[in-house]
Amino acid sequence: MGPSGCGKTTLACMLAGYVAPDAGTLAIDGRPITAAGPDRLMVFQETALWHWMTVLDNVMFGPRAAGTLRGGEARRKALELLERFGLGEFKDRYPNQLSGGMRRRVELAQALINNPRLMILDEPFRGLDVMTRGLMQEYYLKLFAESRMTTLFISSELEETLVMGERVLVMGGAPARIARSIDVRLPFPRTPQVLASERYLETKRELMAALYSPGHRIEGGSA
Amino acid sequence: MKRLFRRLDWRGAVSIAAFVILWTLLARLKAPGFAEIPDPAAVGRAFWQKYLPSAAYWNSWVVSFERVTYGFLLAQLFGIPLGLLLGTRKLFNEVVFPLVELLRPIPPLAWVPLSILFWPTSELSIVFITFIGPFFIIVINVHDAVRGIRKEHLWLARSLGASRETIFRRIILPSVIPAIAVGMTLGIAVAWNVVIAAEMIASDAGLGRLTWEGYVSHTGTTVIIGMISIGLAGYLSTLIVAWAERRMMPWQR
Repeated sequence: MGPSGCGKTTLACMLAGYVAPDAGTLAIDGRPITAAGPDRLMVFQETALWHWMTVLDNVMFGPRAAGTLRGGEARRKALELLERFGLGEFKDRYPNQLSGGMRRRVELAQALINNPRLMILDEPFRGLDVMTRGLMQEYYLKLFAESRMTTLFISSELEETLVMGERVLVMGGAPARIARSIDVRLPFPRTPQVLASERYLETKRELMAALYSPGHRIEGGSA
Repeated sequence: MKRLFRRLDWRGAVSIAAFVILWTLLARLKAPGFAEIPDPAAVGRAFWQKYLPSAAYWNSWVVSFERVTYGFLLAQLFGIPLGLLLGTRKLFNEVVFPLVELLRPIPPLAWVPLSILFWPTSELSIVFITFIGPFFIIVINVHDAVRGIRKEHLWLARSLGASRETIFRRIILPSVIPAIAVGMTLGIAVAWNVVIAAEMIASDAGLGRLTWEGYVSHTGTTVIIGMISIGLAGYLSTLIVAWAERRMMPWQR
């Protein structure tokens, strides 16, 4: 997490292989990133679902385009995922006909069908109403608990960070850098009791201190 | 279709009725400027007696519709691929776009003399002029649409391992369909504009010619029947285009 404008999205786009760094290299597990690939998938701030394709076509796109699954196989797996995401009956709808939270679930299905090794979520729940947002957070955590897939979750909100995160990298400064790494030593699931515990407050204080420490602040930025 | 007719409820009928009454009064009283303008009843009579049973009159419809159809369809046929090439191929764009920008501001009717000189028949020259109008509109619309495709839409496809061909067919092409629809709506209107003027200048048939002949022979009823026919023909084409557009974009239903 970090103040808006500090370069979180840019860094994410570099990891995904959409944007090349001006200098230096990026590597995942020692392998340099040279292009976009289905091993690292990103869920964008604004929905990137193709609004001219039905929900099912959106989800099937990856395995079909890459040729990893045969047509019928891709369809079966997509339907299975949609069913699991509670979207089975919406498979023939177009994205514009879905609510914000449902669209997010479709995007997750669209990514997960490709078995990525890294999921990059760029403030995925921003713009959702408070209730939907809470449900989506819970939902993703459950999903994550099942798959244990590495997730880079970008957020600009303290509470969200503490609900979702295991390890928080605080970005800031100009030029931006990773200012601090904070381990969130809170058990999952993060129940209301956990989120009221002494350790939660401690971590929150630590995180706030990192965000607001003068050296890492961006002039005019907001936390 | 239903929506288009619903607008003609009684409130709309008020202004139309007022218009007809005012027109009748002014024509009957021979108000200044109305010396040669017949009243609505005379127009109705002339239509009923002279034009409705006339094969020549209906042939004018057919001729104009044919010209608009050819000009419009050719404009789509050449304009859409050109717009796509301009939007997707950098080198092609750098070479060709300046020429497009040079020719685009020339109004279609300014092409009339050159077109008559160039094409062997007046029919071909009129179709060509009718083509020019919608052609540049569709080229520019598609070109802008390709450039305006959200980068996330392309990124996502690349991430998922789509080939260039798949990206073109399943992402770029559907992305520009709304722009093609806009180009069609504007294009059909321009095609009618242009064909009428071209017919008045350079043809011996069609609704534009019919109207012009009414003027030349001082027949007010013919002029007005021509105008109304042109309006109806344009409206009819708009309905057909609107129907085609809805078919093209099932996701907007």
